[in-house]
Amino acid sequence: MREPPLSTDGKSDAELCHLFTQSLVELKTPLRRIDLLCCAIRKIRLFESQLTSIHADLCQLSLLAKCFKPALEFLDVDITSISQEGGQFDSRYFLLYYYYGGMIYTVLKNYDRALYFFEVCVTTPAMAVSYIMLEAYKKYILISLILHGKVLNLPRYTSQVINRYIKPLSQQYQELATAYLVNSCEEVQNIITKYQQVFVRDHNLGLVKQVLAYLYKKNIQRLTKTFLTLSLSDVASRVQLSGPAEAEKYILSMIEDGEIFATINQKDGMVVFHDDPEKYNSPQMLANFEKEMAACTELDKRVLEMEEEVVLTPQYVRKACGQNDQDDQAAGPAPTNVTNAQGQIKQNTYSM
Amino acid sequence: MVPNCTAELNRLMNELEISELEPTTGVLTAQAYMRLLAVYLHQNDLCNAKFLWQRIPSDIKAAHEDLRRIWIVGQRMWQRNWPAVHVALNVEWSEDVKEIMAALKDNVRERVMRLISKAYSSLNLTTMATMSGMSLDEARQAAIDRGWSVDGTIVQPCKQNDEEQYSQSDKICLTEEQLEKLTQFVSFLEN
Repeated sequence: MREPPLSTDGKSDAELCHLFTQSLVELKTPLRRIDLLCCAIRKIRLFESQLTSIHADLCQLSLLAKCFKPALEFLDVDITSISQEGGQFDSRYFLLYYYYGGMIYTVLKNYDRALYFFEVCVTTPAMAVSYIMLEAYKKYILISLILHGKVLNLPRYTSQVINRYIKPLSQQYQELATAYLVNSCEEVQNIITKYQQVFVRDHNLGLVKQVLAYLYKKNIQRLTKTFLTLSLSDVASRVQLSGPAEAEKYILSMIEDGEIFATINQKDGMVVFHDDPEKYNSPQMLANFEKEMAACTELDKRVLEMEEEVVLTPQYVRKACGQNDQDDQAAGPAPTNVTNAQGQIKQNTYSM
Repeated sequence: MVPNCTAELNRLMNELEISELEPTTGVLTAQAYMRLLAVYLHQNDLCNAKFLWQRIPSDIKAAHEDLRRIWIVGQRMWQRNWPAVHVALNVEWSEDVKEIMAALKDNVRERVMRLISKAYSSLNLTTMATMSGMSLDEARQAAIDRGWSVDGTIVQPCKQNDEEQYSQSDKICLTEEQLEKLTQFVSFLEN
């Protein structure tokens, strides 16, 4: 069967890129041709927010070359569509793109975005266990702990595979999360020591150690909720740091990052905790707010567009109009049903 | 920092990044690596600095001491060990990176001073001096210049007001443009 020329091209181009990437990986010269892949993506995708299977290759090369800036240009754009590539788009590349992308954001310490990427990877509809998903889920747990101090619940549309197979396979990480929940650095340290080999094997030890470092910070943050003033040595003993000097160092860097609001009084060795000074009345805040609003408006528009696209497909119309599949082609009740469906669509759009 | 200078550094960074990706060369000269590394540090982009360091070929690293010294500054910045940052910065830099490193030094000092004013209600003059890489007398002078009260060996910094800078630059766009945006929001909500 002959396919339309455009998609055939897309397909063979993509395949060429995969082979090209493969050979670069084997030759261990990933940095050399990153720009070429960037160029290929720009040519093959039909518009900016379209995902091609080459995206995954680019991310892989970036990780190997430890050079992330070129890939960020693509990662920062939210994907709204997937290139067909002759109907051959392998789900593997989709998963890999989000997995590698999440890793790139993780090493650049953009944890918010990393968590989002891992979430997309984990919540992809699936019937079977994929190793990519499993690894993404492990990293999802760790990033979630770093960002939120607990493992966030996955959305309801997550496929059953996660609960049934992947959770039991990431037992060690679950235990780490449980230990984290009781806020005891000692216990987290114990888990890390106990499963060190597993974490090393998964190449997650660095991230696991960061989880521990963030627990110290989180414990300091918890102190601010209970106390107004505290001596540095009290902070150290409550958070199990080695001494006032280390406590001061932690507090200092947290103040700089805006993670707590406090002032240190070195004369008396005391820390005074304050409330968040943000009053939400500055022009800066307004500008942020406007930006978020614009993003939401844009998103809403996209959703409407996509919904319209979906409701116009014959399959949807058939499903939405009940069991009359057989009659559809006939002149029977189909037309009335179709108008009904369209009526509903219109209502939907109005109510939004 | 003078914005002009920042823009120039940005331009330099882009140029160097592009030439690193150039397939014909692939590897930059040691000078270029040094400059790129220094620019990343100046922008406090430590993640990218770290990975740049990791992808510099080891023979270049071994051959150029200046390159290694720049990275030591980066490591200290990563640890936020301020006294050590200043120690690492206080060496004679070669011509290629002299300007950037000088700018970096000012940058770090400014950052530390801002941090001190934000985080301390009182601190020892010695701590302030080591953190900002100044001698005791210089530190005392800097504190007085900023209107902080110095009482013997105890400095009492005042909070700096960053907000004023914001409001002045943003005030211009407050009126008509904002009304227009508000109209857009309302029309979006109603449709």
